[in-house]
Amino acid sequence: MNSTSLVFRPTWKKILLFLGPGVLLYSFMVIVPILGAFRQSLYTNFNFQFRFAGAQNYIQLLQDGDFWFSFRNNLIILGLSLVLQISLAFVIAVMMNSRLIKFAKFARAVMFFPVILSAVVVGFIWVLIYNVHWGLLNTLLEVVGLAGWQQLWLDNPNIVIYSITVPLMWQYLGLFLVVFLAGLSAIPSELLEAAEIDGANGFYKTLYVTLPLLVSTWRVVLILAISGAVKVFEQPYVMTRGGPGISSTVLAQYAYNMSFARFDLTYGSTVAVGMLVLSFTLIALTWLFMRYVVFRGKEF
Amino acid sequence: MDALNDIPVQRRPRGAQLTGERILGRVVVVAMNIFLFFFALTAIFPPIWMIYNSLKSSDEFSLSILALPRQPSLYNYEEIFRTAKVYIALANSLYNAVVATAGIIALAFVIGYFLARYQFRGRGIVYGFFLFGLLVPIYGLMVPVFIQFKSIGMLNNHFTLLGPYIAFGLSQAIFLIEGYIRSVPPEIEEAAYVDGASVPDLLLRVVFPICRPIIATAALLAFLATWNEFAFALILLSDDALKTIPLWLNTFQGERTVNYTGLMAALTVASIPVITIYLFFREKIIQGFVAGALKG
Repeated sequence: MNSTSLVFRPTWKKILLFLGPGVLLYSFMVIVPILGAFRQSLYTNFNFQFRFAGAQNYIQLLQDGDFWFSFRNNLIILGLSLVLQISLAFVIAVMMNSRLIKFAKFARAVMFFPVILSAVVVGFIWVLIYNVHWGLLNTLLEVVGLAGWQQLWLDNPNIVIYSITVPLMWQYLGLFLVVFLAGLSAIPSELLEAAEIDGANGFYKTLYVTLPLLVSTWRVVLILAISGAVKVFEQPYVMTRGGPGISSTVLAQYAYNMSFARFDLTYGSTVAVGMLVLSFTLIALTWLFMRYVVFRGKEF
Repeated sequence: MDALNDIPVQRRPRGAQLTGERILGRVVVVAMNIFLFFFALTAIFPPIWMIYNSLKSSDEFSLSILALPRQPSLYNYEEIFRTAKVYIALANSLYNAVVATAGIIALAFVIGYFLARYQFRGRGIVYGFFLFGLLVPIYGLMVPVFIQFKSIGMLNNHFTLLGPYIAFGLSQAIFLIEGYIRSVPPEIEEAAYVDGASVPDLLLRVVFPICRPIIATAALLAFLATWNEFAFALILLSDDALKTIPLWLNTFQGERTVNYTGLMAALTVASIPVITIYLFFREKIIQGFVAGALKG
């Protein structure tokens, strides 16, 4: 950066002119609403009589079983995403990077395709797949002779949380795949060849060369997975509206229910603030974990 | 490094002594290809199933949900254009996506340039300020934004969605553009400045043409995101005349619960623009998503 150059020496007028409009709009849509919601969350609302209530809403939130149940659903989605979706994406990425796959570029484009579909479209496609009589899933189960496994996928409160997680994993697997592929392609091939000369097979190469070199990619993937799992809303909204009962309700759906079904905007704001706090706590914990456990305090 | 490269890589002898291992190796390779083919199929089959079933009548669909249509017809499409007035929603979505994309690019280009080239106190704060937008769980803002829009009377008009769509798309576009400008040496701009170009001239005539590839990527991502957006349209709009495509789909499904082939046609109509864009620009789009993810 050549900071002595005249071009790049900004005056305050220039700073305001360049950054002003964007910063103002962004503040107005992102920062101000959060502050406004925090203010709302300190009030209670009886028939549009707003009364200052201090931390009362937050005390209620901490004791609100439905709120924590919703958070538990987000954690289930996150857990399944880590265990199934991300590990699968990693395995597929390693396979595709091994140059033993015939149609790798085409497969990558195909597997990424669901990412660009609208969440609403994906939700409805899966409503059709899960349909009891004319759904793809129950039909395929019957075709392969597993009719006994047929379920009311979206109406059985015991399994619905898993049913709404599968479409999320289906849609975003491709995103994690391309991120891993980008990380893998940055590994110098000399390193893998050296390991090969030393007699490492594909499995050991992955374990001892690829995995350690991909740590920064894993950090990106984990943060993507967490922020993705905490903010889930559109697909489950389309599929179940959080039902039956609250069995598939996630945090964003719960905030929506409080605000737009019960019209309790002050408590809805409290839930929204709680959701933001939980999300940033999870991200911060992951970051600290990566920094002090995986990297042991070294720069990364 | 050259010396290293000169050492020939020892390959296993191609002779017959390792036949067992080689057969096993071939089996593994074939198995991997089959596994991947299967996965690619699961990613693409549901949308394909949706598209070919949208060409069936309801009766034919209920007879067999898997078979290809015997007499493909566009009847379902005629229906949604005639009775469900999908074109209003298409026009609304197009309007919102185009205007929001233009807004995102205009603002992000200037801010991205500024952050990439200028050193000033508070630069880190501005950077972190926009980084926050990549990490914030966006649906946590639904209730707060609704309250704010209600209190200033901004619900339900032609401009309602533009503000949030531009603001939510800014962070990603800024980081894409900023990263790209950093990779370009500043000499050309300095030369133009010495020749007497003003800052707007510099931006529009020198920097913008250089940034065209990344601007295209950022614009594609912004367009896809705004075309697909549902949650904020859901809470901020209730007027039928303003509804965007995802919102229209939601209403459509609410009204006719049994017309599955009609729903499939509606879903296909909503997806055709993004599918077309993806077919032409898939590499750019994937690169954009990767670059955006690596920033977060």
